[in-house]
Amino acid sequence: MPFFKNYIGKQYGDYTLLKLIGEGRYGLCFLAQSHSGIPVVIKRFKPRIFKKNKDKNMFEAVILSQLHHQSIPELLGVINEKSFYGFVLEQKHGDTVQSLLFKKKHRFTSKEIYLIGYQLINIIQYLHGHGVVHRDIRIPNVIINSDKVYLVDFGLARWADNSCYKYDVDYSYLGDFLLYLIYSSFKKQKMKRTPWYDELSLTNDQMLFLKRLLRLTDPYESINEIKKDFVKAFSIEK
Amino acid sequence: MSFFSKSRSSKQSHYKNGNNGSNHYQKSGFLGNLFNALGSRSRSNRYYQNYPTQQPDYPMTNQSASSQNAMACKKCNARIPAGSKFCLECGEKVSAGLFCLECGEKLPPKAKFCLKCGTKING
Ligand SMILES: Nc1ncnc2c1ncn2[C@@H]1O[C@H](COP(=O)(O)OP(=O)(O)O)[C@@H](O)[C@H]1O
Ligand SMILES: [Mg+2]
Repeated sequence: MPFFKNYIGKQYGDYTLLKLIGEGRYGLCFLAQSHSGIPVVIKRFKPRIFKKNKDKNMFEAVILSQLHHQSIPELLGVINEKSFYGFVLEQKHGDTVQSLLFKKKHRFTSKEIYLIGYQLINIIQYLHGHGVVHRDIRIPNVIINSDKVYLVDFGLARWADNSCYKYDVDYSYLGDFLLYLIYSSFKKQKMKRTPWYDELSLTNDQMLFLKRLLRLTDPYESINEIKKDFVKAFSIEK
Repeated sequence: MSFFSKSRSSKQSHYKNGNNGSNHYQKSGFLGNLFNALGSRSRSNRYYQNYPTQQPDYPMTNQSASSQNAMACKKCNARIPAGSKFCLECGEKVSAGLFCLECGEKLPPKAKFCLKCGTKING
């Protein structure tokens, strides 16, 4: 009973839905095509959650409207027809890190970890420089295409303030994200549940860097500092 | 170590748990998908329950989203939150690129500077 099949081939606004390419907690993402053949992604919100978050739904559109970065999808339109509410987004080609890890069983080399981490930090630097906290930097929301990194899903993104929406949430998500990449080549020996810092073989710099991101010790205060330490700890040109 | 982490983050659990290991990082693909597919409620529970102070009408500190400079849609008359490129009701495009990227203020055509915050506008 793949209910999303009902949408395939249907026309919404200027676009025809071609296939389902992703699902998150908020929406279903379809690959779609305009009259003129331009491929786009349409994120259709799940009506029940959309209603529930009525006042917050606009943040994704407003924030995306303000951002212009090649690693962030451009907002191309809004569709509101009967029971279909969605955003039209620029398509970012590639695989999510989630699919690379758990479907394709990809093992990230230390060079790849460096290249991906560095680009992601640049994206975060751009966001924080524009007053935006993403708040959902997770493996299904990061897309990789050979060496290029894209960040999608601005559903939880907010303008930063000093109370509810702080930049350092993104630091802790970055630490968690990097651990996924690092664990892709880890072979478990004991069956016991062990935290990463007792299990992975990392350099002292790497260990301290990740502990600070994850707030296990003196947390970071700026993305610039994070970038500097990341390069120091993970750059392979040593 | 773990004492430190707990004392810092127990009340602010919107930070990631820093003490996971292979059980977590090598398995959550499946759980993650299941979580997504079951969909709906989980997201708001997981993220919003930790914010007792976060009411729906939490005051925005950023000018670009404050209600005072919101506009009405020319086509459907709905309120368009300031800074949005599109009407969120009918999808009508808001006259392209006429917002200041710094503060979200609407710009007159051919403006060289934002009249509100003074940011230089590139052509
Ligand atoms: N612009 C895009 N280009 C390509 N794929 C995308 C794009 N936006 C979203 N996706 C895919 O769709 C999935 C769900 O979209 P997302 O915005 O994350 O929804 P949710 O807010 O429900 O998590 C993502 O995990 C990703 O795989
Ligand atoms: Mg998502």
